[in-house]
Amino acid sequence: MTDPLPPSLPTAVVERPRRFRVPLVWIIPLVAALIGLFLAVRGYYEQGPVITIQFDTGAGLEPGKTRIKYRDVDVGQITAVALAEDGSHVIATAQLARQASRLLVDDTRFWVVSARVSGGSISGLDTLLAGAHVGMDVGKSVEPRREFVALREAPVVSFDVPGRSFSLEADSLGSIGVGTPVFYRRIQAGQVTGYKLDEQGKHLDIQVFVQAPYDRFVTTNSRFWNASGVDVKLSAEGVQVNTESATSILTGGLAFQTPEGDADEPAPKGHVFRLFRNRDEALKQPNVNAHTYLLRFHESVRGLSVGAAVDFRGIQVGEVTAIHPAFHARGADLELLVEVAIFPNRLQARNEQGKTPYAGKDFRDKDFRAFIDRLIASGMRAQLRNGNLVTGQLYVALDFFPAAGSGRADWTQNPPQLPTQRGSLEELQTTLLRVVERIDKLPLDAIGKDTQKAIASLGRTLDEVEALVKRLDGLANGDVRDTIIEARGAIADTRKLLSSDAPLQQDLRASLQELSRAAQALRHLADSLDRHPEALLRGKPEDKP
Amino acid sequence: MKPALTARQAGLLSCHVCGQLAQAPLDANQRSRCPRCAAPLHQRKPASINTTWALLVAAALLYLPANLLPIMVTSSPVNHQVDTIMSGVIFLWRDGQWPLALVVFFASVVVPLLKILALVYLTASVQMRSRHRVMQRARLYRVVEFVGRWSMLDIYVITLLVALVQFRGLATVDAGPAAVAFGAVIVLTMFAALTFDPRLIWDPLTDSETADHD
Amino acid sequence: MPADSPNPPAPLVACHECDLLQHDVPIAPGETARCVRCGAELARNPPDSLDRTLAYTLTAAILYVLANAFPLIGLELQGRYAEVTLFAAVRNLWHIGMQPVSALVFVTAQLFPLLEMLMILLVLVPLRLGRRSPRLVAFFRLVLSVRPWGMMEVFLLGMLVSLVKLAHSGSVILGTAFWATAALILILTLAGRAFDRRVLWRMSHPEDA
Repeated sequence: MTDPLPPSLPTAVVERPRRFRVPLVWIIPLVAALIGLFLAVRGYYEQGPVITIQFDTGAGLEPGKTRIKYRDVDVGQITAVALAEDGSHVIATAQLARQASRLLVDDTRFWVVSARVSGGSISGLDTLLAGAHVGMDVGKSVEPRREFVALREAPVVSFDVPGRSFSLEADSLGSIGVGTPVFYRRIQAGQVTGYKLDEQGKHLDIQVFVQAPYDRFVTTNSRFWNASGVDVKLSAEGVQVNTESATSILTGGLAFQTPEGDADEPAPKGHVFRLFRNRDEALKQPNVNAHTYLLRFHESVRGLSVGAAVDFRGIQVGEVTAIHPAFHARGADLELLVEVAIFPNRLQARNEQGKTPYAGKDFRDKDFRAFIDRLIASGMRAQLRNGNLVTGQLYVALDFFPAAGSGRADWTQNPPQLPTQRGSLEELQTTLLRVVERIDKLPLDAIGKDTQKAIASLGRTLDEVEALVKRLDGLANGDVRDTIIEARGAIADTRKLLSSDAPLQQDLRASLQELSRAAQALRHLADSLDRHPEALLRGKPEDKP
Repeated sequence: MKPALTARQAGLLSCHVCGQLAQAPLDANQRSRCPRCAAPLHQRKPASINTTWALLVAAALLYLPANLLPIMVTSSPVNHQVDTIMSGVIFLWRDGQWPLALVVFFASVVVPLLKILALVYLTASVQMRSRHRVMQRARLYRVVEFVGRWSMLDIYVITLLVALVQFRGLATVDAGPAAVAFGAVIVLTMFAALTFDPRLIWDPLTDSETADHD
Repeated sequence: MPADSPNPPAPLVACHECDLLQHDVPIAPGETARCVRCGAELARNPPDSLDRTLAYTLTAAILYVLANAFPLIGLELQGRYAEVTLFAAVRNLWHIGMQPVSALVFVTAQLFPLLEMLMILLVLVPLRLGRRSPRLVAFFRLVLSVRPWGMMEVFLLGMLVSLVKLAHSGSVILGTAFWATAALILILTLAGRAFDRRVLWRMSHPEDA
């Protein structure tokens, strides 16, 4: 310690040991921060768009749980459900996956998927277990959209199904509802997508969608009809049962077809058609060219209905369009007027040259009238005939009656009148009734009884005579006895003649029996004619030729 | 200097926050604060024995419903299972998941029970000023303090399961009333451990020594 | 009897578990001082305590955010999927009528751990920057009182038990938050080991070191 320290000695530098160890520890928070940042950024980018959907009710919507599915694939989730400010609807916020961003276009639709039965099919059963989810149908628009209003129900047809929709006008809904199938030649070609009453409430507008490839069969001349249920038709032709399919029996159905020979221009989207009540009405030719005539009948028209056929020797040439009674003050008689529409194209009369000189002409044409007059002169009349014996339906027959009296068409009336002939069956029935009545009036019973009484008394008389003769026998011999023997013989003969198996009695009885049998046969005939009037024409049913 | 002198014997107060020793005020009832960090100073934790007893009684009372009432209800269309803590353990055991069963059994049945029993023993021994097995009791207290929190295991499991398994139609899990009771037991025993002043274990030793030497 | 000075000589300390008065010896970094009689930990001197505690706690804070922002576990059952975040699970408990349990879980698994971390940061950051303020003591006391109630490690075990239970019935997916929680526990443990109770007073009173 005696050596002085030079004042200029440098001072040792103190190294702070901590510096070195600090950086190592601080790596850890740095790493953590980086990882956190990476996750945050990735999470942000992976997040898809947020949309709002307006619903009527929040039923089935659970924030954080309800999922949105497109083609049954999860594309998003409902994150919040809140009441709108005015409380009129519910606004749901949903977070979608990033890939779903391009699906959110202007006409994309959302709805709550729940179990449902419609149009003959059941869908969405899994929601009974799993809870509802939100369905999505992506539209075709290119404009993006982030706020939507949900549909009340799943759309019947989704956007990606090719086809065309049309509009049908109908008087009543019948058994048609949303989802009711539309058939073409019994194949389901589409369905009803909606309906609404028109503004005046006069008819219904029904929207149908026909899928490809059936939509090209819908032309401007196509006819649509209601093919619901089972169509049972009773007509002069018999009973017809028509149905489109088992489904349509239960749930209703529509069908369409294009009548043969009509133009084939495909109907544009949204074309309006009329919905007919049934197939026949739909496919009937339009009656633009029908001639209307009037027929007068004095007999019962029970069994004749509007729409009944007017038949010419088996060809339907028209139909009955109206039936109404007319009171004739002059004759104090009630007549029945039947209006018929004759389709001229059915009545294409060909002349010898094979031409149809009267096509397109109607009763206003002189030649046509002359033609008809000629037919009437040959005996053409209209007659009511029994078309269907089960139901008693009548039809109007045009036929030639050689024995018809004079008759003329009345062209002065509008519609012109044609002469009619009384129904043949009617006449026959009346005559038969009269004969049976007369036979009925014969007191056959009384005659029989009287005859029997007479025979009985005659028998008694004979017995008495025999007893007398026996007494006389005891009294007289010889001639008297011979006489008595002769008398006895004569009496025996007489008795034989009058006994129950004597030919005279037998003949009498036989004749009486025949008479009563004849009367019975006649009664039978009247009965069976009542039941089988056709027997007059065709013989008894068992004896058909 | 005496071989063993506690701060109390020396008339000193020790700050539990910063460790500073300070002179106790002459009036023992006066509230004092640490001169260094201004934390309130106490010779011993106030009303330690009584508070601990009260909490232990409450915990013991609630221990019964915690184990008798159902703690978890598992429902599925085919099954409706109501489980208490013990039945859940048995179910796990029977199901073959015995490690899980052991863990749950230990955390939810053994720990709370042991904690209550240990604290009862400790508090009673302190109240009776026992001088036996002081070191063991001190160690027992440390164990009790450490292990108490692990009873929360079942509570957390229920929290997660109830939140996760909500598949209507497949399986749903719901919490039962035992969860509340069990949570209360855990909280009460934790507080009981906090209010118990371990220094009281050692006091009889030094007090008697002082008494001996006085 | 010691001197009458209000503050007794620095080297003395009373064990917080057995109240024994003893000399407080200076300890080198990495060493721990224990009570002579009962072995309770009196003081510790972890190396780089301030920096390490700060770094770990910061990491823990970031991990905490991740553990709460992302879903913990996902469960797939027959094609249906559900996942939960911690807060969602707590809120769910509240909504089904288990409010006390919901509050308990919220406090022990979310609130208090967060408070602890925040307070530690609030105390240590100024210290690291060399600033002191009286509020630090208040924050610090909050840390000490909240500490016993943060139970994230138990929560992690609870998650594991739930996973095993669920794996039995459906497919389980470990979410981001699960891994964040696991890492969080690890980091918190490290932070706990690096933490020194006396840090506030070590800096201001270097003679107590």
